Amino acid sequence: MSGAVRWDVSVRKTLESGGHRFALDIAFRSNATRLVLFGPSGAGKSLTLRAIAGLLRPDQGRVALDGEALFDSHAGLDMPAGERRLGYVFQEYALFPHLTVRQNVSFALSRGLRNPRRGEALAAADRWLDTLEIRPFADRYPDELSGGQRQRTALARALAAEPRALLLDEPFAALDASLRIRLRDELRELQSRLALPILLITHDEADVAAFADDVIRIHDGRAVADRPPSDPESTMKISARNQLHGTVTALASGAVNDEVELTLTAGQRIVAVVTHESIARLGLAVGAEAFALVKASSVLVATDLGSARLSARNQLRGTVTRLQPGAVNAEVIVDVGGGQTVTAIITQESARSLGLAPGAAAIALFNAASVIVGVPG
Amino acid sequence: MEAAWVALGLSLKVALWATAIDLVLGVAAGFALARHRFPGRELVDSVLLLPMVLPPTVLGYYLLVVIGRRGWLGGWLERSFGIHLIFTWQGAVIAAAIVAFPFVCKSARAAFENVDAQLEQAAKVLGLGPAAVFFRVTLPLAWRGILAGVLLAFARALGEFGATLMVAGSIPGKTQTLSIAVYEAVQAGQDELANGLVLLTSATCVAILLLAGRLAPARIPGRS
Repeated sequence: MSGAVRWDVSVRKTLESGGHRFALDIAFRSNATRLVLFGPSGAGKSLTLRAIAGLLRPDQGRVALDGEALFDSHAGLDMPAGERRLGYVFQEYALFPHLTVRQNVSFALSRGLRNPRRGEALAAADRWLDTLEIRPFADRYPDELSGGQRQRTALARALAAEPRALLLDEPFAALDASLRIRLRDELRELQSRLALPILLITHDEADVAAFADDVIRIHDGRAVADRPPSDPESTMKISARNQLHGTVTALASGAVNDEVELTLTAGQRIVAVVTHESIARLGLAVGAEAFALVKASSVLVATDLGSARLSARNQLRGTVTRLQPGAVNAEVIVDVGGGQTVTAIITQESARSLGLAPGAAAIALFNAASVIVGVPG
Repeated sequence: MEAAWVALGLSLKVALWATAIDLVLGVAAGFALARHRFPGRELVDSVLLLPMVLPPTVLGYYLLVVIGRRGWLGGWLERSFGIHLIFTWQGAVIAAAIVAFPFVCKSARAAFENVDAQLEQAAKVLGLGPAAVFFRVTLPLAWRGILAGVLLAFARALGEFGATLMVAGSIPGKTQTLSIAVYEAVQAGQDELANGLVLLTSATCVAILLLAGRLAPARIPGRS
């Protein structure tokens, strides 16, 4: 797959209904693992997603994923939706109302003209019921589920078919605000665990800030010049609590993504995984000023690593300056030198068992993939 | 009363066959009308509903023209296979099937149109072919609406009189169904036989309705 762009989409489609005409003319390329198509309702985001999934036949264009063409009007190629191996989560989830949660999840696993029987447990389906923590509701029908449970069922159903990428249509729009925040984190965590590319469409800026590696802005059927989520000129509010300023000290390119090394004022280093495009767009080069954004909930805290070997490549050493207990979680603020702090959200239980208190030495840990890089404007 | 039981058996046989034929053809036609756009769709829909509004005698006449010995289809069947349909119970089945057809077709179309197309798309993306989508998603969700139409069609086929009389005649034990037997008994002044037939018909209908209540699933999960 090296060399091939992950998402390579250019589609044109003219739709007419009731005297109203809409022209979709979208083109974008991205290597992002978490790509967000962002735009207002009616901008053509859903149509684009449907064209990628094979549910809408473009008049013209090409859709390719990791170098494999799924649709190509020149070559006369139009792979049927069922053969594209893409998971699709509909905005209202589109769960089969006549089937239980377990039957919904095992839907793609049983071939032929019959649905999986009620109570028939397939190991592959049960694994996803466990992963998404919906096993306790396995025998319920969709109309007996809450919004969050429905979303998890829809995700499990899509994932059980073993797709090579997941397409999500406004996955959080049908949920209330507090649930939205939690499920965003869960989805992000699930994505990094499965290492599955996700393309998500949304009209909510907060989804972009919380989820996007790369964002394509869509307006009136077209992709418009994009502003990265960390662009200070953007009117976007950034939900990440941690902004660490430093200087770019190294750039390394990989097959799919690149890496940026940022050295903070006090000398500690941060590694971030970014796309080729982001580096070019932000004008990142050795010596450039940049900042790293990390969500407080993505940061782990340790007091002593001992001989532990961890996958988290960012390990910032410092001193606890404050401990703020909450209802369930606690906020820990760690001074990492140079007047910069890292805030971590951990459970009260963890704070207690680590014996965290102001003045204690602590290490803030986070993944290179959870860092968003920006440049000051 | 021996004749009454024979007539009842024949009525049930004719109505069952007619309903079975309508089930297949009516569901197929209803699905095509609900899911496919083609020129003249509404005209086709109107033509398919004609049997509901045309007088049964008119339908009977049309049938004679088509499947009679000198009809274009009937003539061909007789010449090629030696099959003749007029004055046979199979002719009565065709008459009843045509009269009852709109009930299945119309309710099937409405039931299919009520199924959220997004559910079919979800199944498609999950890798199902068109037949699997139909049998695993569309049909189970439309089934209740179709069943209602099928029961009406069966009731209509059971009570069919005019077209059947014209096409199949009134041959006792062969084509004389319950409704025709009632007419014949009244015409012949056989009040006792007429009474028996009428009571038998009513009892049969009540039994069918009770059975239908049992067969209909107690709970089809609601759709949001």
